[in-house]
Amino acid sequence: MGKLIAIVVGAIVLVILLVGLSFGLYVRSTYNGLVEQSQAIDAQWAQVETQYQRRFDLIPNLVEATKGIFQQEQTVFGQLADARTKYAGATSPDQRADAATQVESALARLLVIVENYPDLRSQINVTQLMDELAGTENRISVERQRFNERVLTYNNTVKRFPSNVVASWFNYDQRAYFRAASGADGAPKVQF
Amino acid sequence: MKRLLLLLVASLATFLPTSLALADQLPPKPVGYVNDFADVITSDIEAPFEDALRLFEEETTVELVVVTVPDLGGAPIEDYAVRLFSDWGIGKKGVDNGVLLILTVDERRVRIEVGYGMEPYLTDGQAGRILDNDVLPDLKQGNYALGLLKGAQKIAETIKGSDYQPGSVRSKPVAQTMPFPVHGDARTWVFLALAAASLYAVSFMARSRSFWFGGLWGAGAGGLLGWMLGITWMLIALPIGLGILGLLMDAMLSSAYQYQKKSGKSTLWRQSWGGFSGTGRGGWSGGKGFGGGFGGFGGGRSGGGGASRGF
Repeated sequence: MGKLIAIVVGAIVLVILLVGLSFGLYVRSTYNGLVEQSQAIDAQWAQVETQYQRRFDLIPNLVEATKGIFQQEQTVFGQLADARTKYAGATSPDQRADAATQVESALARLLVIVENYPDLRSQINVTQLMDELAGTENRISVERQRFNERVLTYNNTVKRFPSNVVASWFNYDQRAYFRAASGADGAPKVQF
Repeated sequence: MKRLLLLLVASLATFLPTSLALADQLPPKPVGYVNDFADVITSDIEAPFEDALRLFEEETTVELVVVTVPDLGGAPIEDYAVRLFSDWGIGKKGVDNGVLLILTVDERRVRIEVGYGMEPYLTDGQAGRILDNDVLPDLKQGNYALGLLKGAQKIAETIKGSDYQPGSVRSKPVAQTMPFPVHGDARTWVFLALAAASLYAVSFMARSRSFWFGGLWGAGAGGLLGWMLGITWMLIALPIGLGILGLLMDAMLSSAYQYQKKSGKSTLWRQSWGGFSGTGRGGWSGGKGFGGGFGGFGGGRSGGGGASRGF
């Protein structure tokens, strides 16, 4: 009889122990997952900004190579210069993203102009420059897409039950997706 | 039963199209360095082409892959290429030294997609010039195989001509928490072996009246697991936790065994609950089907670098 009680008590203790242990492990892994996913988003945003910087570094060369030919397109160059100054002066990621999307429409216009000048396209240095620019635009869109994919995974964890409970304990909130500004959605595609 | 089957089929039918749409018609698996899905490369060229690219990989560790597809299913070639690149994992993992030369017949476009690690050695400008000078002239005349061959050759030349060093790889740092280097796979195997051994140990524990062996076994297994995990508090908590668990289990099992025996029931492993009631434990045979086919690429990624052209 005494043995039976010991077994029953043991079983109850065992169940409590197991439930407690698995609960602790769940909270721990969920919390760590949130931290990791959040870090991954930040790292991915850094990738996007690397490509932004690359784009802004290319612009002076592009302007230099095409300026003389497009006397009548000074507004485009002015817009590019403006956005570049804005990007350099931006302090927060949001401001940088704003400046970056602002430059996109100006850049797209410039690319269209270049395409309308067949003799310009035949110059090797211009072609190369356009390739670099097109490659950069493509990289930006790839990294942005990966950024949004990471945010999606993270937001799912934050929103879904039961991980949302753990997320709210540690004040992990939803993160914003990257959305291109109107008129500049997606990177300008350059086709030769 | 019939209704259940019907329900199953119906639910499968609703899920299948969405999963197919997600796959988005990417070619399923690489067959080698040359993947002529559009069937534009004749077999007498394909074999030496494949050999040349394999040799190039052996020489430089760079994975240069050629793909032709009939169509892209509406996707821009840039998006298609970057997805195919990461899907196949072209280039070595962590080094990302892969290059993809892809051609689509219907859209009449060709692209060089450059892995992250190769971007300094094959710039977008260089990629564009290779397409213009070496690939497009032949493509415009309908000579796809020759254009791709010349393009691949020029890409290889450009990489060899750059200061690319196969040794200068960014290798992943080795995890420091582990007291001995165990792979994720190895850890899983140790864990499985431990679990299997525990399963058999249970039958011996049950036969003994004493509890101590179960506790000892649990503590030992916990210690081993804690050591493998390399987390300090786990090293303490797991032996204690599993030790208590083992003691309790042994206690219950021993009394269960005595009960079974007293009531004249079978205590054989096969015939009691411990033997899964004769359902049999399936073997570990099967597996992934090694040997024969192409082993796949190294797990590299690209970030949209490169150049595209129409022809």
